[in-house]
Amino acid sequence: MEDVKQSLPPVVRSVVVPLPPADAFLLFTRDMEEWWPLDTFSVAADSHGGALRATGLVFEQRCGGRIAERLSDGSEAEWGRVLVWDPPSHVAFSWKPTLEAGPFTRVDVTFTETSRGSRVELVHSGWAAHGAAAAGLRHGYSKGWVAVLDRFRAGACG
Amino acid sequence: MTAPAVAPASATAAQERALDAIGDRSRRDILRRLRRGPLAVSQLAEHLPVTRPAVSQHLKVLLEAGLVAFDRDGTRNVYRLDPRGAETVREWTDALWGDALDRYASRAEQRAQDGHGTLI
Repeated sequence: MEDVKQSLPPVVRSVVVPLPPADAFLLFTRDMEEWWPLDTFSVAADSHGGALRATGLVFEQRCGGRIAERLSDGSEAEWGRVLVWDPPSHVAFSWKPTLEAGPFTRVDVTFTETSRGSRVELVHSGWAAHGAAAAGLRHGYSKGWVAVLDRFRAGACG
Repeated sequence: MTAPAVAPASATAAQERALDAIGDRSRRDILRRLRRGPLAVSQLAEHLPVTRPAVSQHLKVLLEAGLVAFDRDGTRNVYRLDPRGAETVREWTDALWGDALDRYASRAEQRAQDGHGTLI
């Protein structure tokens, strides 16, 4: 087992949209279900052999708010929690519907006003690799979760 | 041992195999279940809407892609996530966000045209 602490670089994506930051922020958060590709990516789409489907997304607009998928049987599958709620410039949330072995990952989205509207930059970080992920597994996921919260406490929720 | 900083422009055969493995919904379902802890094939099959041979076949694909590993426990194999699969999951997530942000941008354009907060 390697003990090397290393991590993979974050996923970085950006897009410019013709809306002021306040509107771009609301569309990203409150109205996520309007654009998220639920038909191709949802916990429901992947499981239950087609017995359940995702009917919508819940994005609670506050610190600690839940991001969850609403299922056709009335239940919900949680995707993550809001870690930073600073409209209209910054929102961050934990992310766990994905499949990695290590601790939960984190998504930061920032909104900057430009002459054409807003530049929206997304940084998905926390990709522990090899030794680091193995260490995370040894210590259990809950510890990874606490570490994520601690690391971003400054200027963030709670 | 160091992981490459970014994925090479042309994916290797191994990478393509790994991304194909993760592209299947049933296999993603298996990965999510293993996230909660190691499971034997029979335990996995209990909770999945596919037959046990199908589960074994999915596990074989995931194993060859480096996404899962197993330990022997008596006569059964207990499967767990392989941390070395992080790079593949990261690449797949990168593509997912690419698709999602394209749709976000299209929706934003529509809103701008409908007169919600148009700047231009």
